[in-house]
Amino acid sequence: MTATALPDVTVADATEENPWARAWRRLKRRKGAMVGLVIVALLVLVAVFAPWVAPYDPIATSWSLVRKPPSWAHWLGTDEVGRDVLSRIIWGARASLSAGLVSVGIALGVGVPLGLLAGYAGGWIDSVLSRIVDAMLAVPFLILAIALAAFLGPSLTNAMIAIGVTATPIFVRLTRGQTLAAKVEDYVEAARAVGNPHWRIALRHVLPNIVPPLLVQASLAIAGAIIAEAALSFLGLGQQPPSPSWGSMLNSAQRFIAQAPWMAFWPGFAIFFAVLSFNLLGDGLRDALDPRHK
Amino acid sequence: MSALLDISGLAKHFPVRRGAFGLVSGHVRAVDGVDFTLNAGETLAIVGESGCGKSTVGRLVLRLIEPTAGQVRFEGEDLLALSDGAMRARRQRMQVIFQDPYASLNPRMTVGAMLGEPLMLHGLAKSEAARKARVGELLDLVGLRPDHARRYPHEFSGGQRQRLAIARALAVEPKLIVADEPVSALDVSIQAQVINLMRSLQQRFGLAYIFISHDLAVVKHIADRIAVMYLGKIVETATTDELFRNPRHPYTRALLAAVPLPDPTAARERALLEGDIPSAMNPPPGCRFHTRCTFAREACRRDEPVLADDGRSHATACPYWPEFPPPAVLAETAGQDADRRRLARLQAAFVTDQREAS
Repeated sequence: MTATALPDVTVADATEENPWARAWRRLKRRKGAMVGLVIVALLVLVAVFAPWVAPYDPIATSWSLVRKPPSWAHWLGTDEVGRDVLSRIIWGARASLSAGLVSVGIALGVGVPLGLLAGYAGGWIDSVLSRIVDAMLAVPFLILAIALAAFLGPSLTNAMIAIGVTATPIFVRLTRGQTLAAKVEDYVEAARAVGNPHWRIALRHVLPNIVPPLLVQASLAIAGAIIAEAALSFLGLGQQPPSPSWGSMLNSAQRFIAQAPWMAFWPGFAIFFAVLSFNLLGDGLRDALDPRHK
Repeated sequence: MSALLDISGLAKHFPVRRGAFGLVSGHVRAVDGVDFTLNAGETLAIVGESGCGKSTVGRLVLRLIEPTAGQVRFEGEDLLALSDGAMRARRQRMQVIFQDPYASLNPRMTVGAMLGEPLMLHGLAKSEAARKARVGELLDLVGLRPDHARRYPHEFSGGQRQRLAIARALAVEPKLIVADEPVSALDVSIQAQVINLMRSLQQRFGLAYIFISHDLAVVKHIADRIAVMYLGKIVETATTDELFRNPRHPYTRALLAAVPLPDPTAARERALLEGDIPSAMNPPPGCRFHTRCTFAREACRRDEPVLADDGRSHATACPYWPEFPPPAVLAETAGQDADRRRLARLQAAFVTDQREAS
């Protein structure tokens, strides 16, 4: 009754690429996503190297250059106190991008652990967390962010915190849902059967498998956070003058919309492009990371 | 010597919730009073239709789900009384292999990490080097190469993945492995390979298997004893040879009659089974099988039969079995080529499976 000799097994060599390589290959095929990725990369480079890229000091005023239209010296014109608009846009990218990244970082850092806890533990923990999330989601995003920012006091840091807290419930809900789906997978039960403690199952077996949808949501949330930062700065609750931010530039431009339309046009254009490119990237990521898409 | 595993009165009732407030409106009695014992090195097969509770039994035995009632004694110790931490430590002695090797391996873990994890959790490899060596040894044991440790599960075929699942189960040197339909998801040609691998590993390490399956042809190949389940209860247990030669319970007879034979001219019982398995939320009163049983009589609707042992370890949950006509030729004649015939039947069953599948 024995069968000792095992038949030889041949494993085809590297039949498939790993999941990330596959996602990257598929992302590369999507033009919109690649355009978004290139613009995002450019924005990041510009923001990081702002001191070297910007042609002028963004807060240096000049009474001889008040509200000059675009020229060879000042490509995008100057504002109401003679500051170079291009330099302010470039420095403003720092505020916008850091607001986007930091606030989404906060939302991920708080939302993902809470969502993982709610989804994995279930029971009353899940009920309590889910009701809080529902309550927060019932308030419109911007209203809540404005209220929080006003409560914390006007500064870019507080605006980032406010936006981050406001964006958290989305991530709690998304992570919870994904965790609920992942925790009934056979490999999670297998991890339990092997003798993993719960925290290890959640962190090593569930979390790595729910990263793709979180990544997509994060890239879309950055776009939302950039808009929110612009809105808060426009209202005077974000970046404080004289430091440049696209939102506060729009705010000061509104009084001169007839005399100096370039003051309003360029920051608006920058916001539009940044948001569009993050959205394009997020959409592309969603398609590329979704295994059901071919 | 006491049994490795002793199960008594095991039951699992899943609550069914309805409506906005999640009120419990009933229970699915997936497992409803199951007793059996398993000795070290032995293979017990649990067979039955889908929905009969056989997979739930497997999970209850490993305490992957908590039973509603009953007792699970493993090496004389009551598993259900253990704390979370103590139970985790016991998992070194008992492992599981799942049906679908595409779902049971974490897609984001390399083979090396997956096989190294149980070693780390149970302190079985002191150093990184020792762990690597042991992972290579495990891969070798299941017929793969040590350098496969760097790969991800998706780089392997179904049969190879099931070998990986077996290697993971073996990593902690368990005494018991619950195999839940371990070959049902595999190609016909691969099924025999995996079964043979499991048998040789059993001999080598003295493993006990609980082999859960709906496929009698496969079960006949590996099991020492068989327990037939119907709607949450065991209706018949016997040694494999005895069960195939003298099936007593009408349900067992119906199952055996449904096994395809390689010889189309062979005389056999007509298919005795009609209709679907009744809902486990509301099982029929009396004998649960009476709604589908060709021999059912009035008393069957009323009296719930007990699983009665005949003194030679053949237990049947039907008091009327001696009155039934003898089953047609189901057992093969004992002799030199019994194994070959068995294999032929197994292959015939496989071929049929394949045709149905395509």
